Amino acid sequence: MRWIKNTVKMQIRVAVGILFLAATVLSAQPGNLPYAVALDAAHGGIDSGARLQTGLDEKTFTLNLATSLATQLQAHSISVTLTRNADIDISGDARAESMNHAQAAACLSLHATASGNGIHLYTSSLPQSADPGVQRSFLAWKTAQSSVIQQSLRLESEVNTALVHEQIPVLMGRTMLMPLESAACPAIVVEVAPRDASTPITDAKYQQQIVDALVTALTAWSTDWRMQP
Amino acid sequence: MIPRWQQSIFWILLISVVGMAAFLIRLREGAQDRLLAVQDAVPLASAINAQPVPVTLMLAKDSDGSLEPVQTSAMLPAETTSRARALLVALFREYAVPESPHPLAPLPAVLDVYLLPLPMPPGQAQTQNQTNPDEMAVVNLSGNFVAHHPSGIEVEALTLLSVANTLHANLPQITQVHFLVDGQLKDTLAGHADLTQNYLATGNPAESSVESRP
Repeated sequence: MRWIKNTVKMQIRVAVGILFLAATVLSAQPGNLPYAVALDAAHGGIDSGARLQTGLDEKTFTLNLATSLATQLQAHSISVTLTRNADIDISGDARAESMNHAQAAACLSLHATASGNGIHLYTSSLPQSADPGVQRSFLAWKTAQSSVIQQSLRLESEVNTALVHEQIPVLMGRTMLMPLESAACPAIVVEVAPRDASTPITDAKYQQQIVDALVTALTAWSTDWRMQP
Repeated sequence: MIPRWQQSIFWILLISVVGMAAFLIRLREGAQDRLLAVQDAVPLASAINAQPVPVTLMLAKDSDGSLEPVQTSAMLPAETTSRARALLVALFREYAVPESPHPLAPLPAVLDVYLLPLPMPPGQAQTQNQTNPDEMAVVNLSGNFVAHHPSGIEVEALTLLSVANTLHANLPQITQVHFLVDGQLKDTLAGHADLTQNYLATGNPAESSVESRP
């Protein structure tokens, strides 16, 4: 009788082990991760970024935009991680680490400039990795973005649609910029420029339109992201 | 009591010392001016006798983020590196105009341009008679110009791509461009555009980008 008891106990342990492994593997799939967004307010501390106008630096503008956007997203029950929430200087690597730890479904690096018009959207200029469908345990730090570049392009398209709907001029391109390259999440850069000659970057209505468009895009992405390969 | 003749000698000597010091300072300034004049005359191949030749400048436009080819003419030196530098001087002259669609500070931008041969692409064996005709241009920008460059992802990228594509449009053997600032490596142009990477000039501005190194 004892050997039967031992066999049953062993079978139960094996079954529990298999269930635990399956749960771990399944939880690593995009469809089972909670939807989270990472926002990176560019520059900070001694790195002021661009001088947008007298008394307003890029670091201050991006932090205000990130905070405002985070508040709106949280109101839509979306979990948000900020790479910085104060006027501190953090490295590009630390920003990418923060994004990757958050296991975010969308990573937005927020910039601002006094040159050009409207919103400039950028994705990494890294090429798509050779085997995008293969889930690898390790990614090269400097080129982690190449494994998700197709998803980043779709996220960029989603944001572009929302901005155009708000009738904001959009310009899209590819660039090489930290922390984009080391982000293992769908990631884009959003650079805010004056809307036109009569609408400066500080215009409250313009800023609200940008936040509204980004909230719309990121809400839609919460559904579309789960359908990504 | 100091005798009167000693007082007189003292003052005469003092005036002589001051006069000689002023004379020496003036001599030194004159020598420095002559030295600088010699340095200014360091030969960039003379373009005085050259005929104006048609050139293509790839002019950046901030409003739509594009590069537009503009045909103009310029007197260019025959030597290739001097020619490349003269092309960039002509390019930045366009941006120094206040009504430029990509306005930049009216400051000397380019200190030097060097051309380096590129190795054969991977997979192609290099034989004694077969070398890669492509070259990389190393463009040494002035630190003062960089300090006054507008900051932003688009505006910085446009400046760099404009340089790379203008060089490629007129000297097609230049397919890559690397940027230095005052002869030193710098992380970014004005806080955004990565200067640690090489910029590719493909002839098609839409395809131009930084070199990816996976």
